[in-house]
Amino acid sequence: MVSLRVCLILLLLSAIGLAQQHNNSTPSIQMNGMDHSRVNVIDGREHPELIPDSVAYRMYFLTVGEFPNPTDARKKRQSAFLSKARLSDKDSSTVVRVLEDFRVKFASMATAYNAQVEAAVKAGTGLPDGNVFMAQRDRLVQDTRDRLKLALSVNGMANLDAHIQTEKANMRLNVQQVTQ
Amino acid sequence: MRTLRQIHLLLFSLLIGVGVSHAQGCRTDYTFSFANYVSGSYDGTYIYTSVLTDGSGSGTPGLGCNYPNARHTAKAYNLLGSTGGWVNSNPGYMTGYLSAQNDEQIVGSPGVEYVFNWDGEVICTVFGTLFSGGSDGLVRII
Repeated sequence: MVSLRVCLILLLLSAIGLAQQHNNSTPSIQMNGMDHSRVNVIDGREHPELIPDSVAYRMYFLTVGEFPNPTDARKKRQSAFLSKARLSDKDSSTVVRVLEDFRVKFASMATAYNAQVEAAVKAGTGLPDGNVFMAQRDRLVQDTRDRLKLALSVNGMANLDAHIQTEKANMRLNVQQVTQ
Repeated sequence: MRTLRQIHLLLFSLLIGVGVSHAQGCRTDYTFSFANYVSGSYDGTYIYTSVLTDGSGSGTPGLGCNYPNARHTAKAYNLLGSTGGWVNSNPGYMTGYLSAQNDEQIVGSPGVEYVFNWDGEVICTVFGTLFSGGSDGLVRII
């Protein structure tokens, strides 16, 4: 008889309400909805403090960042998302450039890691350590944040930080340990 | 006589070893971390929505685990108005990195409500749903 024990390794802390920020000077969109049922998921709307910065920045960088030579439609989309962070034109251009570099490096890192996993499976050897990949991934996110801090104006970095913290309300995270 | 006793001892040890090994079967300690991000924006003409599901795992399958049979797929559902649907990642192995990003856009007008349904899932071919979270709702320009 095979049994599956699923354990949550994160404990829920006290809730902190986080109001959605609205910019009255430019039109924005409002998203309302009814949730589907979910199990063992940290909902950023209820517990934004439980969404780590490393996760929030990764998700934001991947969503807003573009690969080199984007189409005009992709540029317009990116500009619309960046406008929510209330950046100057100069800071916006810097974010575009830094996130382009992030996307290229992240894709290269993920492709190389998945190739290692596939090679190990085919060879029947031990799988590469997933924790090493996750640490490298988080380091790249942190390096990108550090580059932005050096390149952006003080206000620009503060606005971007504040925006991504607010965006945690639109993120969900599930970290579990499964022992079979 | 001594040699015979040694052979009996060897056979007994082998039997015990096989029994223990069989009883252990597949034992796996596996940790995964999957995340989902849904976002939207408006540029005066278009409404843009994006759904991203990504993550990976770590762990070492024990002897007896047929782990290559377990394949994981990340999924992102983004339905904006009548545009969009599911986007799936390529199937990956249990510790591989998965990512599914689904971007949609439609022309939007202030005061009009548009359907916006989204979901993020990670499915394992052996254990079923590892991660799921979504919403059926509306989006409007304010």
